[in-house]
Parts: sequence; structure tokens; C-alpha cells
Amino acid sequence: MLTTALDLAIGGIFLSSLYVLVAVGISLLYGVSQTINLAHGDFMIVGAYLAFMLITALGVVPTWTLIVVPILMGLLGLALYRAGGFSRILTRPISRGDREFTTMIMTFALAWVTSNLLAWIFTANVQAYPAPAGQLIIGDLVVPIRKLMTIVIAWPLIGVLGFMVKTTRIGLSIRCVFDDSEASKLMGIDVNRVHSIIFFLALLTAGLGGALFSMNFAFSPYLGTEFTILGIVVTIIGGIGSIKGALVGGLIVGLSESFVMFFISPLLKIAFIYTLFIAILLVRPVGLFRSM
Amino acid sequence: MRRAVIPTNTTKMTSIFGVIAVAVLFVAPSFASRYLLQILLTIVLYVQLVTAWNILSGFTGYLFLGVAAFYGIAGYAYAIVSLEIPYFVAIPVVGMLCFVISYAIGMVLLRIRGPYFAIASYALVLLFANVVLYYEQTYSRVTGRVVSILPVSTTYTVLLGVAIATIVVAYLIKRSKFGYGLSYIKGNEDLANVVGINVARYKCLAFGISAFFIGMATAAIIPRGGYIDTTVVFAPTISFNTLVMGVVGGLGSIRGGVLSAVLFSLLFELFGTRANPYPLFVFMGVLLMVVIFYFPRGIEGVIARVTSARGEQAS
Repeated sequence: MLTTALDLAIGGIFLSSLYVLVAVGISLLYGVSQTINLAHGDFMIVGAYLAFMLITALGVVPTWTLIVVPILMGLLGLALYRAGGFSRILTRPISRGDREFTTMIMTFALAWVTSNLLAWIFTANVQAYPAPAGQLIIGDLVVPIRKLMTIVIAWPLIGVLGFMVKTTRIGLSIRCVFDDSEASKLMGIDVNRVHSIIFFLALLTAGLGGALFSMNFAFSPYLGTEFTILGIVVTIIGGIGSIKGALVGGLIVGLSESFVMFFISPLLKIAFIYTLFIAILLVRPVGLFRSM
Repeated sequence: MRRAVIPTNTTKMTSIFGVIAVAVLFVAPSFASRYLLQILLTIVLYVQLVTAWNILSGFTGYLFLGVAAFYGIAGYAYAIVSLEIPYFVAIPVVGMLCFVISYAIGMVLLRIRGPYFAIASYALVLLFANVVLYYEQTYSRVTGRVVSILPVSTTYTVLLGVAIATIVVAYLIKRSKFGYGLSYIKGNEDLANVVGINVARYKCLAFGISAFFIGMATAAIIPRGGYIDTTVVFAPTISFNTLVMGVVGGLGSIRGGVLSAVLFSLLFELFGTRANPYPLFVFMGVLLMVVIFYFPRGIEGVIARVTSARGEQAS
């Protein structure tokens, strides 16, 4: 009984670490850059395919992909901001509502393009590669090393990110833009650079999430939607722009998913999380944590 | 501007063209080949879906990304009720069911504004699909359902009727007090509330009517395929296509939506292949990005620009 509970808890924390990685990017993009990224889960899946390609085609050691893939994805984020039209939308003189509407449709289309491009290149079939083997055994509890790796890599990284936003000079400018983009521009902050950094970081974390995901699960092109939705739910539970909020929200969603799937039914996990999502939106629309 | 080529009154031209098109479409089954009829069926379906979608999203500005949710619910509802009652009765019954469900959901969901509503509606597809699948696996113990097939000419004619009814109702709503209320909500919801519009009821009603017509169209077209399961009726393609057509047509513009639905449906039928549909999907996604970036008001915006350039009042 205790073993089952522990097993479920570890499973939940493991899932949380993936959700947090996705949610942090969504949260930063929305909070700081007013971009509701409906393609974020799909970017994560792109990360998974990148890792897959590096490992199967180039023979890279799986552990190395955890460094290479995030960096490549981060660069993709930069390209997306600079050349993908987002820098133009963010500087257009339109209302916040219009801007959110535009970015949302842009990223919705981007999600569609990304997933179908993946299906076109790699077929819609499920892919996988041999992950690092080995497991940790404590009494009756068996934990695969890859799960532990996911947890051990994801949480400290988010911690570092949070620390960076709280203490460094770049973090300060990020928080300023989050509070008031116009005023920070007037105060001499290079808003364009801040947005670039945000796009870089957001896709970097998504890429890492994807690389870790592909190490643990088989993947296919259309898995992104679910991660986008879960990531947004986590973001909204935690509060937009808040990294601490993403951590707590990720834990809530990951743990409840793990337990609901075990005790009730895997198919009802969405129903449970959806109810949670709507309830939070109605009761506390700003989320649990308000500021960055 | 070349006055001689462009008609002087766009509204009048639209209606004349509309009447002729409807007449031709109704007699189409008597002369059209099966292939042509299939193309027409796709066109009529999407024209209908986009118009129904516009009643909520176009008129109120609440971006609904979950058309497939109601398509799916209506598909399953039809599969169940059609065992007991005939086709023509089943269609309005399914429509009413969708109305009731969406009205109830709307009372909660439509309190959420802006991007959150869009996301909640996006997740609605996933929610409904999972709940239906759970129900089927646990209680009915089937993976899909078989529906008795009807001839294409029947489904086509009925669907065309539903589509025309949708367009007419959409126009009536747009010109009614209700429609003005909706456009107030689109403009500024708090102000609409202050002015004395029952915002909550208006929104729910628009959602209900939208879902009612989506449900009717779904019930009309389901007997075409003969088999449904959650992957068929809850296909994200349906939501995406409707959104693309609606946005490209111009949010809230009925004629723009109809035009873009016709264009895109032709595109699907002419260039889409079952073996490799991905290039077309990618193309559509890119097209949507280009349109929202350069022409945020879509086809309607272009029409309005052309007509206003000629000093004519845009309709």
C-alpha cells in the first residue's frame, strides 16, 4: 500500500517535471511577451523528434541530447521571434486584446503546421529509441533511472531560472517588462532584447521537456495538443508569469493526474483536470501566485 | 477603379448570386456525378459550419476553437437516436440536444473571457472525446458505432436545407436587436452590461444557436460515412478548418465566411489526398498565419476596402 502510494507520488512528480518545463515557457511567453502559445506542446514534440534524430541518425549519446536539443530549440525560438513575425506583432500599435487574438491565432496555426510537418517527415507512426537503462531499487519500490533523471534535471533547472529572474539584471528587466512594457521602454530597457530572451528561454525549456519526454515515452506528431492544454492549465492555476506558480501548479496537476489515473480511469484524467481548470478560472482568475 | 467590371451594388449582387446558386445547388443531385456531388457536399458542410461558428465567435468575439466537440457529441447522439427514430426527426432532436448541452456549458464557460475562453473551448474537444470514450469502453463496450447509410442525394439535399436555414438565421440575427446586442458584447462587454443588455443570456443563446446548427448539420451528414468512433467525429481537423475559414473570411462576416468556405473546400477536394494530406494541412496553417498577419479582417476586409474605395457604403 505504502509502496503503491510512493510509486504514484514519484510518478506524479515525474509527470509534474514535464508539465512544469512546458508551463514555464507558456507562462513567460504570455506574461512577458503577450503571446499565448498554442504551439508550445508541439514545440516540445519537435524537441523529442530532434533528440530522436540526433540519436538514431547521428549516433549521439542520449544524455548529450539533453544539452544539444534545448539549445537548438532556443535558437529556433530566437528565429521565430526575429523572423517569424512575432517581433512585428509585439511592436504594432494595437490593443492588448487584439495582440493576444493575433498571437493566439498565429500560434494555433503554428501548432497545426508543426504537427503536420512532423507527420509529413516522420509519418504519423509512433517512434521511440532505446533510453538509458537501469533502475533504482529501494525495498519494493522500483524507479527507472530515466524517470529519476527527468526529475533531477528539470527541477533544479527551473530553480535556476527562477533565481535568474529574481536576482540578475536581465531578470530585473524581464520583470519590468512583465509589469509594464511601455513604461520599461521609456525607462531605457531594450524590450526587444527581453522578448528575444523570453522566446529563447521558452523554447529552450520546451526542448528540454521534449528530450526528456522522448527518453521516457514513445512519441508521435500529434501529442502536442494535450501538452499545450495541460501546460496552459498549469500556468493558469499557478498564475501567469509566476515561476513559483508553475512549479506548484505542475505539482498539483501531475500528482492529481497520477492518482486519478490509478484510482479512477486514465480516460477521466482530462475531465478531472478540466474541472480544476474551470474552477480556478471562476474562483481565482489570476491564479495562485500573482506576480513574478 | 474599373467601374465597368465591378458591380455597383455589392449587397444586391450578393443576394442575386445567392438565389441562383441555391437554385442550382438544389437541383444538383439530378445532374451531378457522384464525384461532383461529393465536392458539393464538402462545400455545403463547411459553409454551414463556418456560418454556425460565426453566430458565436464572429458576432460576440468569443473565439470558439472546439467545433469538433459538438460535431462529436452530435455524431454520437445521432448514432444513438437514429436506432429509434427516422432520419428527418433525428436531425432536429440532435440539434436540440446540442442546444441544451451548449447552453448549460455556456453558463459556466462563457463567464471566462478572452483567450481563456478560447483555450477552454480548445480543451473541450479533448474532454468530450475522453468522456465519450470512457463511457463507451466502460458501459457500452464498443469502440465505434455503425450508422445505417443513406444515399448521398438525400444527405446532400437535407444538409443544403440546413445550411440555408443557418445562413438565413445568421442574417436575421445580425439584423435583429439580439444581433446588435451581440455586437455590443464584442465591442465592450462591460459597457454592454451597463447599457442594459442581458450579457450572460445573450452569450449563452448565441452559443446555443451556434451549437444547434452544428448539431443539425452533423446529424444530416453522419449517415454518409456509416461508421463513427471518437477519432472520426472528434477530429481536430474540423475545428481547425472551421477556424481557418472563419478567420480568412473575416470574423463575423457571413458572406466572407461562405466565400472562404467554398474556396477552401475546393482546395481540399482538388489537392487533398487521403494518402498524404500533410502538405495541404501545412499549407493551410501557413496561409492562416499570413492572413492574420497581413489581413486581420480577411476577405470581408478586402471587400470593404474595395467598396469603400469606390465611395459606396460597405454592407
